Amino acid sequence: MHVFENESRGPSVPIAKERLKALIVTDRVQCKPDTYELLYKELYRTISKYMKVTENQFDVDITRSKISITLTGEES
Amino acid sequence: MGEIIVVTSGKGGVGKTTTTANIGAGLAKLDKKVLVIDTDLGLRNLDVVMGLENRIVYNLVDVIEGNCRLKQALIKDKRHENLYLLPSAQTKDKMAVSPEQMLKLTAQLREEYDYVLLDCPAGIEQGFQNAIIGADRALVVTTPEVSAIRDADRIIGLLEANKLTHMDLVINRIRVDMVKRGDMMSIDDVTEILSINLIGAIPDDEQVVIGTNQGEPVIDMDSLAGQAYENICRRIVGEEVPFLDLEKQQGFFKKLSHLFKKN
Repeated sequence: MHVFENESRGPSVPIAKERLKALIVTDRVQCKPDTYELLYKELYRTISKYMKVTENQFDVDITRSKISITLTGEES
Repeated sequence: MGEIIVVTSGKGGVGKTTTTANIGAGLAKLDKKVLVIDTDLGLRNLDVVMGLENRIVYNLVDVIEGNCRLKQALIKDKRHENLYLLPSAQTKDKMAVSPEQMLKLTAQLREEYDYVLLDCPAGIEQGFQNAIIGADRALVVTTPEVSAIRDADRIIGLLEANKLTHMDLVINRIRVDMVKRGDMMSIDDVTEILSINLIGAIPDDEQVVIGTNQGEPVIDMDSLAGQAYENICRRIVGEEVPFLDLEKQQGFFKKLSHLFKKN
């Protein structure tokens, strides 16, 4: 039954969003598909050299006009 | 002076033509004088969705080439007093009209109509350039799917590059039941990814298919999708209209239709 199918497979939206994010970044800055991942890792490494961050607090966002790094507050 | 609005999406099959037909009818219902133009050369469709396919004599290419006067090519809608259609050519190829010719035509139409809606072809080639060159604002149509959203993002980038910055997002075919179980991106998900202003979300509604079968816009039928289109029209003319609670409403309309079925 369909109801159970979803439970065993889990929601598909997170996968869609992840794929979409990679695609859109690739399109926007015209780079290779794995560039975002590499850029993210390198920026994270660089930032962690100077301040204390965790992956949960850290986000890199590429829009049509800028690349921004977001740090969300202290972990509770 | 009228406003020229291009309805575009990048990807085909997301509901540009249906959106154009319904918003055209909806604006006419608000007592605006409206012209809808099918700019998809070679793949004419808007006339069929509006149920006007048997009345076509001349088309957009005839007007551009001077084979007829503009007035001769316009088709008056069956239901709405103030609504007109300029159909596309079914036989010409997409190079038959140039962006400069479209710019001239839209400038002329602006004088006569409150709103001119341009139904843009899929893709980002010359047909797209033709449709956007004279436009003051754009409605970007997408569905909550990866490929459609990706193409919408490219279109938004291209519109910005062409200095067309007044654009709003229409999310088509939302299914609340799927959103609820995490199998369809929500209105918020899509809006956040594309980061442009949301002007309306259309629920996936059987009535749209029935309307298209009959050549009657869903906005003229008692339906949730029609109501959503009506709200978009009111937002276009500048009214502040709260967004529909699709979850509550989809349930309500379902009950309503059950009620009718029983009787």
